[in-house]
Amino acid sequence: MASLLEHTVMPSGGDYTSLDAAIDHLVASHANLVTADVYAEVKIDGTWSSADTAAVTITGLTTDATHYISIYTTAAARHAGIWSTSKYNLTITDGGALTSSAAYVKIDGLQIMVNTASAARITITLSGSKTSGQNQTEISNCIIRGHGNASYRDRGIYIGGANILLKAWNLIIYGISTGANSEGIKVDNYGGEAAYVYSSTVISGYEGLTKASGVTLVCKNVYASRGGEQAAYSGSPTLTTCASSDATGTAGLQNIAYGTDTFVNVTAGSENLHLAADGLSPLQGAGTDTSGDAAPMNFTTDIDGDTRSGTWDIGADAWVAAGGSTYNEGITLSSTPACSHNSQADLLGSVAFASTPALSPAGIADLLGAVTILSNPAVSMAHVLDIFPSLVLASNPALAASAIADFYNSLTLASTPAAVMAAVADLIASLALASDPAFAVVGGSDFYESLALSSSPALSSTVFKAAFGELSLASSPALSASAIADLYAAITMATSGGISTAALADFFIGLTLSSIPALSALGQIAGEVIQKMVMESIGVREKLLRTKKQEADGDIDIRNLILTNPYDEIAPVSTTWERTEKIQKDVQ
Amino acid sequence: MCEILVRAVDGICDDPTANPRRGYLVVVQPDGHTWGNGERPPEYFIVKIPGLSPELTHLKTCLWNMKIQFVVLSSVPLTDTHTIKISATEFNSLGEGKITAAKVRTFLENWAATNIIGADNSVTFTVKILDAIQTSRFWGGLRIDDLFFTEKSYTPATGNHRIEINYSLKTFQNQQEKDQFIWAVQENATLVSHNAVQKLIVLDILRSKVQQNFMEDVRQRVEFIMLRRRRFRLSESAMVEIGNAGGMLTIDSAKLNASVIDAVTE
Repeated sequence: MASLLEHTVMPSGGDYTSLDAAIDHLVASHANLVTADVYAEVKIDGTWSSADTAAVTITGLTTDATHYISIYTTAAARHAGIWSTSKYNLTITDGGALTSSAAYVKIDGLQIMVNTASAARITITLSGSKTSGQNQTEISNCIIRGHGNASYRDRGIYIGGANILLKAWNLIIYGISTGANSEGIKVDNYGGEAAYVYSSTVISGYEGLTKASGVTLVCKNVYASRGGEQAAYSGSPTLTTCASSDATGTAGLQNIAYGTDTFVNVTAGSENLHLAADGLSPLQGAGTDTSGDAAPMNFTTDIDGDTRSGTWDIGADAWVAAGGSTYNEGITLSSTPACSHNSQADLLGSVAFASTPALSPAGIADLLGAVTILSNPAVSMAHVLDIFPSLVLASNPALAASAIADFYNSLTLASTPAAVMAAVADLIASLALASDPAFAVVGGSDFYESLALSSSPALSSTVFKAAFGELSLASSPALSASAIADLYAAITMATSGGISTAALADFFIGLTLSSIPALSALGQIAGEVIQKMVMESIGVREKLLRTKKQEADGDIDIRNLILTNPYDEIAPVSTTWERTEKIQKDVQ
Repeated sequence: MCEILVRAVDGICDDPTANPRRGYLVVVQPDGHTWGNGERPPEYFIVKIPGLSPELTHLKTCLWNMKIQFVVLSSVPLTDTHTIKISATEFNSLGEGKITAAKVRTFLENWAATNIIGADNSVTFTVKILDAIQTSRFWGGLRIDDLFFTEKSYTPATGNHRIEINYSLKTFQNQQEKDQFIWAVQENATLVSHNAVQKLIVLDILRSKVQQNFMEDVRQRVEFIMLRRRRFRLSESAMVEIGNAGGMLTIDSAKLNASVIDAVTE
């Protein structure tokens, strides 16, 4: 079994202070790793304040599948998915940055760029003829930048040598110029080249990923952007859930612009190609889980170490609502509940909901769906309470209502009644429903419609009481009356008359309506209505059971009937205010 | 001021062009750089040069690759036929870096070149653009043996060849090959017409596009040939002097330049 031969590259205190010196030494001392029966690791460590400016040439090494060379950064020297000058970076002036002709090489966690060019330049070149099935270069978790000089061809990775096999994942490639024939990744045809590129983000001013005819380029979960009239993917590579800025990506993932709707920052020189922080990037949840593919393509993390889970995202970054490492998408929530609440609230407060109503509710639901509420009721309640004040929902009533409904649909409330009650009460207390009548009515109505309260009568009635007791409806009598009417009209009470009556009674007991005479009168009227409803609860239950049967038979839409007044079985009234007036007359 | 890491002993590897050799300038760092534990004698020497920027000296750590120059010796516009000479621009007295016919003959034949004549560091050949258009290389390696090309017209002034391609006998092995065919057409030509029933496609292909593809192909094929791991090295006398000083020596810029040997000029 091969033994480890390790060299360290550090700004100080290591074996070498540049990667190329380490490789140079390795070639001189152990050129044939196979006969020496070793595999070589070049560990890049330490805190870097300046770039490694020596171009790297990995050639002259004899390797095989178990006697390979692995170049990687430790956590201290590794970027966090964004180019950092305080982390290890190989930055080459006017020349190729890294050239490899070795058969088995692994490169992980590096930042590599060509910063200026006076001629065509390639950041990473894989060259030299190989034997089919006897080579494999792996490049993972790297940020690769081109020179960006439009006067010259610019390539991120170029594969040009017979039978070269590249397996690459979690790459961010950008800064590729608009110069003719510039490409993020190019697979040439010297005979039998093959490249497998997964979960990577490739931004090019000319072409994204391209291959010559007769060679293999397989892309999964890649986002590619191109410039001008060129193609994000050209040469007909094999694509699986690959997105593009043009029409060359996978169907349904085309024409996704390279912009801040998709990524955090696309300003040249300040690129941050994490998925948009609002959690609404079109690349989010649009990918394919490749963890079942053959090694090494069975990775389960993203470029900065976040775990990929659920439906995978496209690109090098996996968006995470909570947990993670250093970037602001990766707020650590697990260890300190108090901190977690605030972090989550801050995070969600940054979501921009206003511009795309259709998208926003789903976004909110996705975000809140990620909150783990079950394990600690106290934490859960505080989560919900912290989150909702940070949401700005008032500007679009329809949106607000949908968002609330979607959110509740995503909550799993069944396991801990006490926690559920407290959470709902806290939530309602945090909702600002009073300021906008339209919002209050629509939001409240949709919200209550979304509650699934039928499974536990005790829970239902208590929840109603706790929740409604927290509503602040006092400031506007007109609002209060119509809101109450609409809310009740929206409650789905069909499954149990007992629940309904008890809930209604508890609800009215919980209302504090005395501060404004007009409101009090309405509240009293409503209370009397409920008294009568309780008296006739058996009749109500029978009516509702009939209704259910009719609905089951397809004769009627239950919601329409519930919106009628169950008290006197009159025909539906057209507005909530008319309904209130009708009730008032009836009681008199 | 800068400091240069210089290789002090030869290495031996299977690929002689990749051999680390004594005297190679490996890495340049700013003055005061803290070198690593392995970057010291007996394997490495350090040379300090006051007044020399790392950026300038950095260029002396580069590889030595083959460089190619193209010259069109003559053209026959009527047939769009050209006689071209390619030669290497960086070679030494030992012949390293020179181009030979043996190195490029097969490659040129794949471009339908004829009259391939080699000389000392040059290869001369003739290419008819219409023939080059009918090569797989022009189409990026596409399989074209079952395509039939007919030239419908040619405009010498613009170098435009109007070509009809009959693909009625073309058997696409899979959708991917079909996509490649379409892509290759889009990439290299302008569509004039397409008869899907008769499977005839008429394209305009410019001479300049053929030339561009050809030169790109040559460069990619030839200019990646590494001749040595480093192009520059310190002379043996300079290395002895540094060794006698304990492996670290401060010299001035003029002496560095006088001590550096360019592999091209040997």
